[in-house]
Amino acid sequence: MDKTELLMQEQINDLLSEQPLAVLSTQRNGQPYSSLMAFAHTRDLGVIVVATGKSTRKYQNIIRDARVSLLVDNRSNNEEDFHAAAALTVLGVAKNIESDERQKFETLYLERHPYLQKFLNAPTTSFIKIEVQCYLMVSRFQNVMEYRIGEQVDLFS
Amino acid sequence: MNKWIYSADHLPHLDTAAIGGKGMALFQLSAAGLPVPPPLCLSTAAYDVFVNGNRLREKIGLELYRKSLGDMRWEEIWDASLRIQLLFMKGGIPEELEQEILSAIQDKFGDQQLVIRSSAPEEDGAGGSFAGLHESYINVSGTGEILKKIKKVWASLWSDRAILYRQELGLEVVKSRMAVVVQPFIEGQVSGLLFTQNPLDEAQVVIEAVHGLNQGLVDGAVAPDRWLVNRNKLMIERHTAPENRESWFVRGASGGIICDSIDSDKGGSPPLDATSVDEIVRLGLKIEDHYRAPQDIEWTLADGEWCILQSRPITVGSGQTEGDKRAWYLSLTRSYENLLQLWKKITGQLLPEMDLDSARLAAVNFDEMTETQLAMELRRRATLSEQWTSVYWSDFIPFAHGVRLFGEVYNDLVEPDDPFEFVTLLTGQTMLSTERNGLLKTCAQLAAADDVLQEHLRQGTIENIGGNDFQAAIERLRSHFSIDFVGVGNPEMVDRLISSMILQYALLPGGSPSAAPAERERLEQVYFEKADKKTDMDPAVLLHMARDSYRIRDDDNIHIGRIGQELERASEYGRHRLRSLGTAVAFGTSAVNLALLLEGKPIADHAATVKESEAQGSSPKRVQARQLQGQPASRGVATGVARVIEQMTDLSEFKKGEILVIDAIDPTMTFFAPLAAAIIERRGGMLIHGAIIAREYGIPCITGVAQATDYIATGDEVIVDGYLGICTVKGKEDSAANTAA
Repeated sequence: MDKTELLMQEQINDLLSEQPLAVLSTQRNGQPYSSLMAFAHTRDLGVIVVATGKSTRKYQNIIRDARVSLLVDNRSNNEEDFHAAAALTVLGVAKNIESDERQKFETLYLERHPYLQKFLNAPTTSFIKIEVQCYLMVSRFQNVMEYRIGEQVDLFS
Repeated sequence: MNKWIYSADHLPHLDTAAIGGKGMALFQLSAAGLPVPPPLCLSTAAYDVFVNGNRLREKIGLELYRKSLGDMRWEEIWDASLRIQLLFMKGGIPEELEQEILSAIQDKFGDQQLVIRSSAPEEDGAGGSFAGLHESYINVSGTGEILKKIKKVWASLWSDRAILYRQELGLEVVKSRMAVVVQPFIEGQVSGLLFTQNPLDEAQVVIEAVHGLNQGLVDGAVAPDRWLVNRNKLMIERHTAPENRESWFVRGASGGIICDSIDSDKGGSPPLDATSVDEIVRLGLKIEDHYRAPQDIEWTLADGEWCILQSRPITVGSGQTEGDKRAWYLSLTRSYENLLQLWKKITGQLLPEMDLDSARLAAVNFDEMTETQLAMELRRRATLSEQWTSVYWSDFIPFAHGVRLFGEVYNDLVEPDDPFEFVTLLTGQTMLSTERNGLLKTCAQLAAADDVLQEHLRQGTIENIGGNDFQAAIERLRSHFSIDFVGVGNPEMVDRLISSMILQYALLPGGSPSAAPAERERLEQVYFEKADKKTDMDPAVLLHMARDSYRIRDDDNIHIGRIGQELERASEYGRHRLRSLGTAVAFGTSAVNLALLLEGKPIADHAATVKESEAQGSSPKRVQARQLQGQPASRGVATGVARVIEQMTDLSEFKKGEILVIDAIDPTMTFFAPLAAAIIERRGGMLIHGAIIAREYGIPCITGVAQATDYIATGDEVIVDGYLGICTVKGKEDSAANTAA
């Protein structure tokens, strides 16, 4: 793996590890819908897991269209954010967690959010994995670097 | 306690964080009853009020964090500094603060002329000395001027050299603050420096003194009289007079200070007599006693009264700690006088000499030379080329500061909205590069009317084709514009390149480079009106010098390229001769090695070093840039297909309308510029060659795009935003998809 890729992975891992919350975007009939979510990620950056009540609008949206986007950032809500903050846009596809991987992802999620154990284990909660295709890291106000980890080549065409 | 203004009475409650190092030192001297012009200090809290009131903090942040400060070249930091300093000058002082400043000054000093000095909190405390890095202003009067100079002192926190020096000391640059000292201006008749302990002999005091004010002494423009005095016996051990006492610094009639010639009466005698030497030594030792450490003191003698301007411990003041590069940062700025001298030397002596040398070399025919003679000729040329390269660094590069000095003066006088408006005043000149491009256009026009000629050009030949006019133009391109220099090492490639260029130029619309003479004239008028009586420099001379500095910055590479081209011509001949003698020789073999081979001597194996970096630099596949930030160096927007130039041979593939992506453009290569839809350069700066030529032709240009050639690939569709300095990479897939749609 080349140096640039390693550096990129490190930056993404750092940001995802620092931040407990992400904004999840789903859509229905072309209407975007954003929600604040607790999340956890795998070290290889391939998967981000989230949990949501099955009756929620976002869950209903995901069932209809599994393509999602997440936003994670380290803003402090001060004006220095403009030069100092980094924002990470994640593009991926939401999938059901298979029973043989449930334990692994649960541990990952609860390590980050131990207070959400009851919520996670409720029968009305859906535990979802998002298979990441691409990360877009925005830093220094206008620098945008793209890290494609999925096989799909062009997500924007 | 966060007051905005302090006097020495507040000393017990103060520290350097509030009023800076210089402010503290002056308050301490004043409190000790030493003769110091009574100081007032504008605290760092006042600086904060100004900066926050004008919302400057994040503007500075965005300037300095566009990319890692460590990745910015000095030129880019200068550019950022120019922008930041203009923000300060255009900012208003919040009314409450302004009133408090003016009434405090009025109460304490009345209508006296003032000195307004920087006092940085880190001063003398961060393992380095900030002496000379920030600005101070002498002989200031009038409300408007006082407020302006205070803003200028605040702004000087963001000079290129201050930013670099802070960065080097590991200080968090963006959090820096600045206090200001205001004192009455003391117009001394004699001034000088005093070291209470000679660094070379601890038993001695050193005194340096000049007639008039001590600015000339401090910056080295006026040579002082020097006395060495025995500390214990208080006896003069030696007095050394300068070679002459021709000039001195005195108060300027309309503010500031000026360097003037001294009248012979005064110049004939030393500034101090034995009695006054004795007096100042005693005063110096008293200050040393007070601080219990050897001191470096600036003093002046006004109407028989001694006055201490500054005192600091020698260890810090001399700033000679190991690895301290302050001197280097200070040398980044050239004085007006120094630039005038360089200007004269370059135009009057160096350029003509260089051209004479290249003409002399061009006249040499190698055919009759023996191998030994050829070897000597190669060495002679290699040496000459080295010599001129060294002159290029020592004289030509510093002369580029002429443009910067003009920019600083222009912004100071005009306070324009665009910090780089001054560049318009320098453009539109005939430069060698634009003249060369005109010749290429002439060749293209000749080719357009001649099918046979076009066919030859398509095959990459330019020798012995076309009519006399065509060959004359080609000959001139070769002899005057070092166009052969581009393809160093491969003459065939040069011909292919030139022929390809000529064919491309045929596609260009007629007319000369875009320029806006009306706008230039208008700005010139504004400049001269504002400059009227307000500067120590002659505004017309300064503008003339800046124009030459701008032009020569581009031309000099072509001049020196001729020498390089001549070295290459001899090397090519040498290679040819060696091959005819049956010796294998690589293209990259240096002239010195060729000389050895010609003499039948062995050379060290160098084959391995020729192309080592080849494997690196390939664009990483999974990590791609979507948007890269640089400096907006020439306005406009363009969309097109990128042509990444990694080596000179790539240039022959360049097609009109492509976007040129390159590490660094040399003026010998700027004939591509008129063909390009836009230019993206990794090397940063508003005043680099790519930016200069792009502005001449009105092409969008972004410079300082880190890793531009790594992240953009030939064939990528790219959008160049020359207003914001942003380059959006759409990649190949996207552009294919777009074409399909």
